[in-house]
Amino acid sequence: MLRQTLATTASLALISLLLTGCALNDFDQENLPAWTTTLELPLLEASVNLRTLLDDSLITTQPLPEGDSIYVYQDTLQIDELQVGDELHLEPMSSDFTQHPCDFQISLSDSFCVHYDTVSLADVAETINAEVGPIELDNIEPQTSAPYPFRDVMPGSLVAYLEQMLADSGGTAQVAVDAVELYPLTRRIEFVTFRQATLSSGLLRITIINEMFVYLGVPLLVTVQDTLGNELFALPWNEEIPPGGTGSQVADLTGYTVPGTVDVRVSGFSNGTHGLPVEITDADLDAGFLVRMTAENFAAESAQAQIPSQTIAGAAAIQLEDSETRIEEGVLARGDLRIDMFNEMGLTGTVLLNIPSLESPLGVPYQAEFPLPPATGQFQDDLSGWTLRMELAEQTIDYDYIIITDDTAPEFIELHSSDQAILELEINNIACSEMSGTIAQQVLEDFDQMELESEMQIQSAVIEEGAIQLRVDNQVGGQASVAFTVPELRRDGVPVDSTIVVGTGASLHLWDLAGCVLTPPSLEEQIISCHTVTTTDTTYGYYQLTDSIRVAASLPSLLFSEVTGIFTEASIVENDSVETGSEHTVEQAEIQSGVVTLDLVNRIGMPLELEFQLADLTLAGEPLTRLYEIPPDGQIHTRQLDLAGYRLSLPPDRQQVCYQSSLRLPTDDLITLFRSDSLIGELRFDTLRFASLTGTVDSLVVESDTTSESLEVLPEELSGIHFENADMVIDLETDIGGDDTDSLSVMLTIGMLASNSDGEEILTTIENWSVLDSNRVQVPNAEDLLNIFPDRIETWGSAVVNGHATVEHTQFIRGNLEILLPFEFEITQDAVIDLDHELVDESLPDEIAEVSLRMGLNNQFEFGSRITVLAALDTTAFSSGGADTLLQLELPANTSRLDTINLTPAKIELFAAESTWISGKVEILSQLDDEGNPLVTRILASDSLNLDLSGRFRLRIDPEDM
Amino acid sequence: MKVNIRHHLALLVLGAALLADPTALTANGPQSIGTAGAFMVTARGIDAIGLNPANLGYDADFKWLPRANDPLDRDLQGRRETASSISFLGLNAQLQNNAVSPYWINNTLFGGLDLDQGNNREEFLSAWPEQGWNLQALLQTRVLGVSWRNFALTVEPQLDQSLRLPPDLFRAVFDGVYFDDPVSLSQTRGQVQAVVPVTLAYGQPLELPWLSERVQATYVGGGFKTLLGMACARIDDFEGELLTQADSISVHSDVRLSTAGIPMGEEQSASFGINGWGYAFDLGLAVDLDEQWQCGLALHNLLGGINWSDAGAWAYEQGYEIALSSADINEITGFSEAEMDSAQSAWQVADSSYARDGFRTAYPAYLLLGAHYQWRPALGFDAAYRQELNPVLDTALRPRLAVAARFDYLNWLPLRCGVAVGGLEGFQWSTGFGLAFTHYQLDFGFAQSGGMFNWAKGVTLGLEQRVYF
Repeated sequence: MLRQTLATTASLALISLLLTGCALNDFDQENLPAWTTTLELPLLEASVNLRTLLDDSLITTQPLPEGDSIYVYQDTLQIDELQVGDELHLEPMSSDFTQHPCDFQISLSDSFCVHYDTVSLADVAETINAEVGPIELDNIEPQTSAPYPFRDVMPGSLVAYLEQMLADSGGTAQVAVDAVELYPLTRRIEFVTFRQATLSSGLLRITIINEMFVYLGVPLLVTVQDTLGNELFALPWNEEIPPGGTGSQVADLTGYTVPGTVDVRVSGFSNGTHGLPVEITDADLDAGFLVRMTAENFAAESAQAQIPSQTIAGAAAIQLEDSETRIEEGVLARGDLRIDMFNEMGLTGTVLLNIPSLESPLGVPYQAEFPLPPATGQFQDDLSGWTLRMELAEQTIDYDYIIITDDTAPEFIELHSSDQAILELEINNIACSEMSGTIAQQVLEDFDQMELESEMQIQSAVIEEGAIQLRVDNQVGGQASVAFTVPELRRDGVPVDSTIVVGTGASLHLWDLAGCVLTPPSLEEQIISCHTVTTTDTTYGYYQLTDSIRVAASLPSLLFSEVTGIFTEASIVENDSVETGSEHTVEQAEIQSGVVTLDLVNRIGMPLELEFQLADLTLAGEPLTRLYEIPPDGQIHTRQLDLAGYRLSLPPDRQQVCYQSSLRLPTDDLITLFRSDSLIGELRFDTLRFASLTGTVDSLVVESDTTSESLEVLPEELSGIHFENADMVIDLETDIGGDDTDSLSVMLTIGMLASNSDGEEILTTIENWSVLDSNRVQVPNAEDLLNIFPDRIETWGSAVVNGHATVEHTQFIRGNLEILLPFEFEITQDAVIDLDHELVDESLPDEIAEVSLRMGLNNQFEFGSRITVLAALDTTAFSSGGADTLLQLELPANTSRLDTINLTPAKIELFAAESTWISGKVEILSQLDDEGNPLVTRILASDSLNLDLSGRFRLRIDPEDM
Repeated sequence: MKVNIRHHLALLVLGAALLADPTALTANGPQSIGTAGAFMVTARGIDAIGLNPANLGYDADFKWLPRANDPLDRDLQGRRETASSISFLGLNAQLQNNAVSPYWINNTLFGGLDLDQGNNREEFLSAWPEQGWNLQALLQTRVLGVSWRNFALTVEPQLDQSLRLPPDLFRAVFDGVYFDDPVSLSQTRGQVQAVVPVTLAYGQPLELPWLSERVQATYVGGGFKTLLGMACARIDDFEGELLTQADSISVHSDVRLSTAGIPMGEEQSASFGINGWGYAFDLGLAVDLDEQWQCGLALHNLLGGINWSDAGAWAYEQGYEIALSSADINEITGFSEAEMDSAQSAWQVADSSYARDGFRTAYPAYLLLGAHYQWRPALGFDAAYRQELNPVLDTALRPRLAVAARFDYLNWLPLRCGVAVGGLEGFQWSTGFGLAFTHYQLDFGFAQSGGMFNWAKGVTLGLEQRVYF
């Protein structure tokens, strides 16, 4: 029992010990482990180019010829607009006028014509007998007889002998034939184109064609006989005709009557083979000779034949009747050509008629072609429009004709050389529309009444000054005298008359009426009668007979000293003008503002109505017209008109504003006015300002205000940079002149002042730049302007407009100043960018014990840099040199390098303060040539500074510090 | 012949010990805890469930009770007349890891060390296993246990949890993150599962002439478990890596979870109750070799698994793909809050939770081979070999061998102690005791693994009370 108790107690004690053997201490943060761990992290991968450096949207790129692009600074500044504005105006102008009621106008605007009587010629007639003459038989073809065979013309023994030889030798034999006499043999030859002809001339060629192997002749005799056996002629043949050869003889048959069919008999000898052996065959015995007849130049007195085409020709002249009217050259207003034909030949054909005295307007002689009828016929033609040309002394019409007959084949006609065709030629009803030559004298009378075109009813008017103006235009030609008589114009109670001589063309004649009294027939019948007698001259000349002598009569300006009549409807009109006095030539101008003033004084002694019109000023197409009533009080009455909105239209050669003052006397009584009665007026224009002006502008000056634009090209901290190639262009835009600027010039002068914060200023000007020729203006000295790194550019300008165009007051010249600054520069030794001081008010975490920065740098720029970063607790340390150098790095141009920067605990300690200042500078390093001079540096689009930055951070984790 | 069986059994246990590797937690009642898991052959009544259902056959008709020399009879004689009992409010708890111990916590973690000094860093980091830091926990309560004759019924809700943290996590924290040296989180694994097994077991003697000639008695038994799944969450896949390079940082993660009854999104609600069910079978064989030797063989949780139903099953996916170059990092530093939100949205390649189809989780099946030698009436020895049959909760199939001694000098105060190697716990020692009265018994078990006392890396506690009737 004791053992059990002890064992149990021991077991429980052991179990208790075991159960309590596991215990955790109290948690104490200070006892947690401290350690340093490492974090390797990528920090930055940056590619820095100029765009990222300057971060300016105005920096773009521009292609280079070699294929890359260069960075450029590109900016556009606006230049203040130059507007025409109020420069379009006319200076004030004025005009005085005085109107006398007696200075009313009478218009005589009648005209009449004097026409010549018709100038005609007597009818002409001519009979043409066209005989056939010798009949040309040129249609006879050569005819060949049937063969004269060897077997028939040679002796039978010879033929038998040769046949035997050939038979013996198998068809081919060597033979020698001696001379033998031919058997006479006759063959018939028939000419198909005629049956019989009595020749007035002609030859017959007879040709023998020897197809035998033996010679023919000599001699031979060829006898030609009719079919009855009567010998016509015989031809002896004394020339030998060799085998295969020909021989011919000619027989003259003049005077012979030759039948169409003949027999030809050939007789004589053959000289065989001249005794020489020749090789023959059977075919040679079948050969023979032929006779051919050829007619040459057969002309017959008469013939029964197929008559070939014959030609009958002739020429003559027709004499005109003698007259005072003689034509050298006259265009026929009318003329009828008629030809009656009587054909007695039995042949038909075609007639060609030429009349060289008649020519077309193009100078081509008259020519007519018409058929020759088998019996009778007629040809007619209208000669109007043709020109008849004759000798002035010899008034004849020349003509010629050709009749070409038709070939009668296959009909046989019996024709004699005396057969003929009769053509009766007539030209009737001849009259000229115009001519040169002489015309028989004509006396032409005319009477005309000319109405006095006046609103006044004149009873009598004493003409103080004036004349009837006669404009005579002799379009007929030649010379004539015209006698005038006017009953309504009297001098000393006698109607006045006058005679004038008019030559060819226009002439002006004045008929002085000073001192005459005009007395129309009555107050109601206000006319002037005119009686004229025109006598033509017979001298040589050129006459336009369809035209006339035109007479226009007018009374351009009559000045009356006293007038009695009724003036109710009359207007006494005064026209005058005001000189614009402007250097510009105004053709059309829209008036923007302006006033015209009219001062009037009535010294007529009775009330009057005045209609004042400025026809050159229109509104909606209507001229400016005003009606005033002026009392006879002798006082000045002023009227004003606002011209805004009116259009001034002036002809280029009249730079005057015309006005018309029409006064009316509102009374129905018969009154008498004298020359001393008058209306006095003064017209004054204030300054007229135009909205637009069409015309010729002379030195119109347009100016602008000064524009000031800020400009930031590069950071002002950058120094030591000198740009090599800067471009400043003003891109102009103008609408002066609208679309028609061909004769316009706009000369621009621009001034430009660039300045920077240091007070540096550069001035440049562009003078007399033709805007219309080129709208892009190159600014000189652009590099000088931009190399001071201006922060402000001021521009101003003026333009002078000259020439013909439409200029509006809203038209303008404006422009943009385009700055193109490629980043191509020279770096001097003091090229430094001083970075601003930056406050770092956030300290680095305490856990950071050490930082190691690993940098991969790739500088592709053509310049290098030396970067220094400083840190200090106070900004004054940067200037005093007390700042700590955080890092310093030099990066040559076009290099790549790998670098490591260790921020030791000492440097990290700099950031332990609550605030730390960081500053630095970037020294720009240029590449140098062999002599140590800086090279031109460009910043290309492909250039960049590539930075790969990673860091290793050693972090000290100490729970005790947490 | 009897010698041969012992020999074979010894070889099997030894071989299994050599192949030992982490396995599932082994808490199975205070008596089992107190014997380091060697308690198997002598388990009776309710304890037979989970150890060897064939042992229920010992209580069939109480045939063995009249036998005067039955060593077990000594415990029972005079104290209870029936093999029927009821157990309630039992509790088993186990907490286990493979890296830290109280000693390490007291002397290293809270030892005020400066890891930059000497080889402190290497020693500190060496505590973390290369395969990762495993954390397992098991909480098991016996709500009800009833045994009547050779029948037994238990209701034992249990909560299993397993988590593995990757070693790179500690390396990154204490050593650092270096270029081109990825920090991988892909070994992270985890699962938590709440199950209520309801087990009915039965055992009976097996009387075969062939066996009767060789052994004293043979029993067979079996059990059927209805597995009521309450909740489950598991990491289906976890991939994650942090890699820094001189010009970039990349973070990649892809996490997929499956849950049952556990909401993972705001639009989801918890589903309390039974969210899945399953079943498992237990088979057992018990043999009395002679008066002193007994042995048993049991297969537990055969075909075991829980089918989590569609209702209450959710899937959750979250993935990040972050690849930042140095330029990106520089750019991000200037991001506004809105831009940063937008960037984060872009990095998050997956972020979804959705109702998924039901899924199945395995229930740990294992083999137990045990032996008991009753050396003295008051002193007996137990041994058990445990082999996990399927890798549940990410444990490997490392066998576990345990031996224990029971000291019964005082019938009302049984004492137990044991030691084991292998399995998930590795080395484990244990002790326990009981307060055994006629109709009431209270058992307590305690075990440490991975070492002893403050060097231990795991602890297991068990408490049970039982009423006999």
